[in-house]
Amino acid sequence: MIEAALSGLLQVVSPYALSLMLIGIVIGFVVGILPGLGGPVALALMLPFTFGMTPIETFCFLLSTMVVTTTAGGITSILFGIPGEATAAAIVLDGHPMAKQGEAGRAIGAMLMASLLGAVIGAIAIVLSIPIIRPIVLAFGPPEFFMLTLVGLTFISVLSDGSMTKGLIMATAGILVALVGIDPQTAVPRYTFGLLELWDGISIVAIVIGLFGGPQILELMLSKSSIATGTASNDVRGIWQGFKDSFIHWNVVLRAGLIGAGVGIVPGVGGSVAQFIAYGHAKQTSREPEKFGKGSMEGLLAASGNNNAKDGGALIPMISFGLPGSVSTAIVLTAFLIVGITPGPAMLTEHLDVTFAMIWVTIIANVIVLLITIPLIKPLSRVTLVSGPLLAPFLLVLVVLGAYATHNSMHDVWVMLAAAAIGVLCQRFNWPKVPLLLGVVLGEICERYFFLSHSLFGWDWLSRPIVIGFAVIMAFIFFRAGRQAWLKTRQQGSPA
Amino acid sequence: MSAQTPFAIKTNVEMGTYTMVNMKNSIVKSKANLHRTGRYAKLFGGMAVLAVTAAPAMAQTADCSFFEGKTVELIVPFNAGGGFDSYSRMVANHMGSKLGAQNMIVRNQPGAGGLLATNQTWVASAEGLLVQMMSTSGMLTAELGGADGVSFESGGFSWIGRVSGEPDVIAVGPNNKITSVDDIRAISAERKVRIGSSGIGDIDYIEAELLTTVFDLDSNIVVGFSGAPEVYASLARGELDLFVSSHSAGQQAQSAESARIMWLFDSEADPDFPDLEPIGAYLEGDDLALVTAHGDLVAGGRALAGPPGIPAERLACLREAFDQTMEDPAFLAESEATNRPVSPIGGAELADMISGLTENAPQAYVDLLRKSYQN
Repeated sequence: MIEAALSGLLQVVSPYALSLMLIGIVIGFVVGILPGLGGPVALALMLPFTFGMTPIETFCFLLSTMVVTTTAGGITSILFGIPGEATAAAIVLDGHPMAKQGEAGRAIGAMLMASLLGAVIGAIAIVLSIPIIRPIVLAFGPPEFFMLTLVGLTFISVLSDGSMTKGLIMATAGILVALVGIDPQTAVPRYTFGLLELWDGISIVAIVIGLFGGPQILELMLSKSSIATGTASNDVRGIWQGFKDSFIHWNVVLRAGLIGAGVGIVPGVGGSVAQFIAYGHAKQTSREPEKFGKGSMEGLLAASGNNNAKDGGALIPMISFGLPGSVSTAIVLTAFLIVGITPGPAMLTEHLDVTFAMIWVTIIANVIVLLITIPLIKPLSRVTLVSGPLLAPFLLVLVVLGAYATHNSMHDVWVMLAAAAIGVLCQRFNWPKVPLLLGVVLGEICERYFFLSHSLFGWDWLSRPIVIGFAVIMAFIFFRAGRQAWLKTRQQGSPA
Repeated sequence: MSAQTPFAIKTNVEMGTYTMVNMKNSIVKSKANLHRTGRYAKLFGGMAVLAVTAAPAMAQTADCSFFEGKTVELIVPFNAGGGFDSYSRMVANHMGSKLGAQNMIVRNQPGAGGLLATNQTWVASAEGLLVQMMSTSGMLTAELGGADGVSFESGGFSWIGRVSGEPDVIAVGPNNKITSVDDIRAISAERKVRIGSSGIGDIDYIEAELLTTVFDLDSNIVVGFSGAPEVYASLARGELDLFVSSHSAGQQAQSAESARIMWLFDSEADPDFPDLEPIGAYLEGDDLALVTAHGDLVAGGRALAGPPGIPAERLACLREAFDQTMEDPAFLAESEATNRPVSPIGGAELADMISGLTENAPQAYVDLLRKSYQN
């Protein structure tokens, strides 16, 4: 195994492969920073260029873009409060408040280092799972996936910003949005109003950009001031502080990374959910949960640390079974076929060096992006000092383009604008946005795996050991949330 | 309540099924494919041969100056990054120059499992500057099955040529005890046979219904998987008994030890896959006719077509450019190097084949499709 690991590393750092990786990183960085324009679109457009490359060169080129879009998406989330990628939405929650407080450099530094550490955790998870990779993937069927989505939904109790009732109402609204489209069981069109555009459901990317981007852009236009008020602190010193922060809170990053790697394995659940589970978990276990949403370093690290770890997790079912865990990995799977390698047991024996090369790429690409960003931090964080009315039209064009590019359709632009209106109303009347997003993302998966579980096993699936394990975790989350709420009321009541 | 899902509902269904077999000699085999897929075309055999041989002569006389300096758009009805997309980009890359056009660009227009784009191409301007990569089996089953949302007639499109096509196969789980058709019948006598599918109206659902009918099975068609890879993972976990997919997706799963390919889903053996026994060998009469009809329909594969009514001369130019592309050594080298085998059929023959399928499909088959769409 060590031999394969070394062979993979040597092939990745060969000059040609490394230069391909650099190209991939630059593409990933630009695409990641632009809101909405996501990794899958970039990867799809890069596929034809892999013609003539060896397998390892292909993966250097594509995987570096995949991981870097994820990381760079966080920069936009921090600076503008608009997720650069759908998977970087949770970074907005605490990263952007930090930028507003003039700590953009520190936030970006912490985000980059946590992403790198997350990538390392994801990589270790794959390496450790190599001997048992197939039994692990086989142990998770529709019932286990269903329970995992339920665990995701229980975090609504933590992510409701104080009012559980409002959180549940928003989550229910999100699930209703997820019902739009063709019913997966009966193939009946639901709430599609005769529009074929709605048959595939509502685009999650458009919702994420609108929900978070709308209020930010409006605020910038109305406030007539820049994002950060006053002068930004010394950003280069800030980035080092950010690096240090991610080591000081190493346990938050570690747990976020493990959650990312674990959730990444589940096909279809992926990054949009992993970030909120990691964030919700960090909030629930934090000594200072009240700081979450107002610029908490722990919140930022939890949201960043899972990001690249989940890419590592998503590689596990793809390498071992050809089962893509996300849209991006589905495109990487196409690349597998183009270069003539078949995912499966051979990836763990004959092509183990390729598997290791893929793991190395996820780590090395993150190291390089970190090094590239250091000199860029200063100019990037200066953007937060640009006057709002100047910046807003530029951002508006980007979010419209991003929404359009998802499916080359104006339909997604309307969805984004509607989500933006909802986002603004949430902000104005203090309703939580995150439960709505979780409802949309998890609603569809939850329904599909529930019916699949029932079709396959009747009600017997309820007695499966992993299902029971997840049920215990859920009970624990509820108990803890309830206890915290009770303690809070008691504290508030006692002075009187 | 009607229940229709033309084509594959989800784009990732498409993504899961494009996997291509390693057919290094695929080009040589295209002749054999032509033979296999041309059962309907055989009806028009003489005509087709005439058309093919006459094509170059016609093309030489065709005035293709219309395309000079213009941009031709190739619509892909699925997301970027999947099989349809990568085939389309490969074709566009080589075909534009053969047409004399300034360039040929690919535009992805996903939605409603391909229906959205196909409906729009049906009513698009027929000047010859817009063509689409069609999922012929999906559009034919949707049309014949009377699916909701279909506003086209497959036979009416201006067919330019088939790029690739492959048969479907029946697979069982890697540790499943099934080794014969009798084993499946034996399971059916004890309990329901579990057959996986992406969703009602998808091609794999229709095939599951067909299996149930022709082998008279007591079956439970489990729907709701996100695509072929997820069904194969379920097969690997032993949750399902059978699954029907494209040969390439099956091959991929077999290499990943998630499945064993058992039979060809067709009435006759395929010279490309001599080791695979067709299920037709176990059938006769009406049942055999059902499987034959379906095999012919699946053979349509991925094909280029334009809106109805492209002027004859321009259509001749498009067909000629297509034929030249399919013979271009640079195109064939790319096809082989990237494991995207092609098995071309010329436009005239394909058009006859599609019309034959829509007009002459056995009533029993049409009834089964209608049942699949209106469950």
